[in-house]
Amino acid sequence: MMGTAKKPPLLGLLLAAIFAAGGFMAPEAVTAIIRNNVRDSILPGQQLIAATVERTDGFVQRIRSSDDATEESTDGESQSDDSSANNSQTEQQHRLQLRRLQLINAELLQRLQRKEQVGASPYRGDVTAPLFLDELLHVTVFGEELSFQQHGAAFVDQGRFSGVKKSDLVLQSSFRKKTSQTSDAETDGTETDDAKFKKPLIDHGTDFRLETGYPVFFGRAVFGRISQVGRWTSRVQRVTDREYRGHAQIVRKDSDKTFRFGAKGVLEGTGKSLCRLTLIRPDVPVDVGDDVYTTSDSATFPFPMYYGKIVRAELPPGATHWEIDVAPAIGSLQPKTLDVLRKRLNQKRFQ
Amino acid sequence: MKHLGIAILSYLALVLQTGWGERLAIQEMAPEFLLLMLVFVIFCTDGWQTIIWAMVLGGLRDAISVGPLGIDLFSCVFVTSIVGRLLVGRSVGEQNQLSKWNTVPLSQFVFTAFLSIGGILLFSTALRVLLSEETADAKLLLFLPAAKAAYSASLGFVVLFFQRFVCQIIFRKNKRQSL
Repeated sequence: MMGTAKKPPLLGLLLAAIFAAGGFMAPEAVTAIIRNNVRDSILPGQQLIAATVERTDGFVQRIRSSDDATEESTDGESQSDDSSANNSQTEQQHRLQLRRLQLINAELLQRLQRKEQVGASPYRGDVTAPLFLDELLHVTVFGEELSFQQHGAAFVDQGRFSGVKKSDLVLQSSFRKKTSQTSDAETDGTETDDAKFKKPLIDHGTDFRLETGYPVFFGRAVFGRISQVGRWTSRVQRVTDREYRGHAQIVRKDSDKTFRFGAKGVLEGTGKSLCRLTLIRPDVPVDVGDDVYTTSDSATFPFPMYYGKIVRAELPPGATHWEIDVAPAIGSLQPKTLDVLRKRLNQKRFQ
Repeated sequence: MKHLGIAILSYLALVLQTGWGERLAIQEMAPEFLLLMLVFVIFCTDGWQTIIWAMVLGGLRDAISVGPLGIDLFSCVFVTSIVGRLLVGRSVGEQNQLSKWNTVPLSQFVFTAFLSIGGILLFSTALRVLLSEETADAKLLLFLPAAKAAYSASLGFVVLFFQRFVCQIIFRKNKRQSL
């Protein structure tokens, strides 16, 4: 029996072009649904492979441990390796402890200053239960999105016929869609960043009441935020992504060795390994080595969380703000697990 | 049954692409499992079947990438049409598809894989650069697609070699048992 058509039909190419054009011009809401559904479908396969790999690793470990029990010669080397690993772990713990104490120091100093400014209240108040409680959700990173090695490219849905010219400024819009003047354009779901800093996919979505904008942490460090939510999976935007923006505050060490909350600004991702801290006035002191945290009075971050350290601070003559580069604590980390901070209603308020 | 097998393998390629692509990456070169699956489809199918599977695999690659949908879909169909016609040749009948897969020389498979994957990556990157009106260097347009294609083709060679090796062992075992 002869088979079907022997050469690829030109009609097929035309059909592909139509589908491609449809996908290209589809609104972000439609593309987000398609992407979220594809990501959700990947999850069972990823979990199956992860479980298989874990079992294989466990099996290999058991074989290795039974082999190691019969060996005697490498005990000295393994002991020295263990002690150096313990030393670095102890050093890491001390560093984290130091950071925590710096923050406590700065917060206490801030409270004292406020009390001195306004004085203590003559009324005695009762502490009531808050309406919303913060809850940390431990999630697993099961994959990453592909990105392309392009720098500075973004697709916008306005063109020449809308009056947009080549040198027009493009301002960052919010997460919600909005149309505005010709110089304000909305990126059509294209985020381009350095190939090294892929967007992780996590295994929780609307089934765990996650929403876009929820902050994502790796320990005490800010990793990023949720940028897209599917039913079972979500996409995380790193602090180094071009579109990341977050309120930040400098924590400085004074000459009397006390730590104080310094100026507040906005931490911006650049698509590269360093972030940028903007809107810091030129009349405030900034030094290389100062730490950058989330703001202490933010509703999103109830406790100051660590962004990173200032690695460059310059004030060109006549500039209206400092030019500050921040090395994020997460670096080029590719974690296996993350923490998501979400809000939930406090049931005690309804009793 | 053939299409069910392709669907299952495509899902596996999708899962590997999102979860294991970076773990197997060398420098900036990550293997392209979905495109490697497309090479397999080129040898196993013909005509409309190839076009449809190219659209499916290209669409899946679009869905897990940053950027607008449609670019990889069109790139996959366009390059597959050319490669399928020029390199794989015309089919003689649907029942011969699988036998073509089993008898295709490894060198032809690797050559086809390198050209197909490299062509799709180059075409897709060039389209994105044109649409964004950005400048692109030779590394982005030529070196990286070629390197990724070579890496993916070599992975495909390993898989195909292993598959034939296993089939040979099973075939010999069955022959001995029948004797």
